[in-house]
Amino acid sequence: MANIHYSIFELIMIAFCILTLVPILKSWRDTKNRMYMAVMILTFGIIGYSLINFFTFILEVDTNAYVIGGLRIGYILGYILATIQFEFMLYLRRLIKLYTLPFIIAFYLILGNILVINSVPFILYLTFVGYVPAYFLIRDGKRKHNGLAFGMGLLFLVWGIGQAIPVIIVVEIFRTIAIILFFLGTRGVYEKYFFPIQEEEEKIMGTWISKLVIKE
Amino acid sequence: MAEDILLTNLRFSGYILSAILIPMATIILGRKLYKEKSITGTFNHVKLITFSIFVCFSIMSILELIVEMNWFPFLDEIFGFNIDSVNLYSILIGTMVSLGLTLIFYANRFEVLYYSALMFFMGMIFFYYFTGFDAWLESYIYLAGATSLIFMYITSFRIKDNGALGLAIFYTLVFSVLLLSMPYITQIIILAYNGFIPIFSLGFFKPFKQEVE
Repeated sequence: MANIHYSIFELIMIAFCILTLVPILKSWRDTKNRMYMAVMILTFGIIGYSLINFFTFILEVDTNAYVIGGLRIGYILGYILATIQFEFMLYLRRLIKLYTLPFIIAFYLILGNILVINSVPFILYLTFVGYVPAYFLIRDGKRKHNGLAFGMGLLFLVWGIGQAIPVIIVVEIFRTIAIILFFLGTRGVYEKYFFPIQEEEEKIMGTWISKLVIKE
Repeated sequence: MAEDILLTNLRFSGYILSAILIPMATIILGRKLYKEKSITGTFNHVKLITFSIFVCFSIMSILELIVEMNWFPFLDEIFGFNIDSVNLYSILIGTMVSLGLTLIFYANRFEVLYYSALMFFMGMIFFYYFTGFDAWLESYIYLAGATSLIFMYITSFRIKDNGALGLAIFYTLVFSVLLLSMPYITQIIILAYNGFIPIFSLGFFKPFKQEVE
């Protein structure tokens, strides 16, 4: 019974994901850019993950329960999401030759979890898949003034930080914040408020300086 | 008694020939590859994979000779001489069959699968060092070997490639040694591939007069 109320977070996340999908779908229809397609697949992945989480909360499934050997339900969910995230990065970087790598890694890690009760490889893999793309996306997003990439970087970063704290409520809050930050990225908020156009910035600066000069 | 001596002689001649001829063939292939690279500026991936297969086979042949001659006894355990557990021998054979699959993926332009076989095999080795589990290694080598062999023949006839066909014949002979552990027959096969290697590496093996570009 204790975990049912957490399902509300999942519903909020699903709602934000759907809201995120609308402008992305529109942009994809207009430009046919592969980036939008990748983002859509990732968003669907997050919706799927949230739906599974939602039902685990509703049905009170213990995600810490062992499925087989040392493999927990939570690990399976983590691997699904990590695979989608990793695949997304490879797709963005056009590393076609490495497309099968996330599946191979997940396969061995799942098998390893079945044979050995040890969560270290799982944590290491999730950390790598979470923070490395976050760094690249935030850096590239900031450099190229791309709010969508920046928002996605924030999504991975905040999501990753949340996952590192093993308290359900904290994880849920961080994940919800992460998706809201992603949603803001698709709505052009970062372009508008965080990356002002250089010309505009110079104009503002110029006006400000000229005002000072006139006063003097 | 005479049969034993003949068998021992055949075995050792096979090992010595392999340890000399295969590295020589590898050097010839390497030189060809480098020459082509200096003309075109890039490596021909199919030839690079073939060269890598030969490098693995050269290392294996030299180590086989060293172990058989018992020059360095400490190598016995590391080399292993079997494919049912992880050791130097099985790693080299596994790399060869994985490269065989990679070659097929390259020849057929399955870009998504280019490195899959190698990554899968490397994963298997890492997995062994972390968990101690290697029960599937033998099955993988046989399965990947058979698959690469079949598809190598199909690909070589489809694209009329002399190199692929040569490699397919070479693989057939090597795998026969692995599968058939019968005295005389194994030794004859070893001598056969030692005879075939110079023909292949020197470029005299050309059953297809006109190759498809």
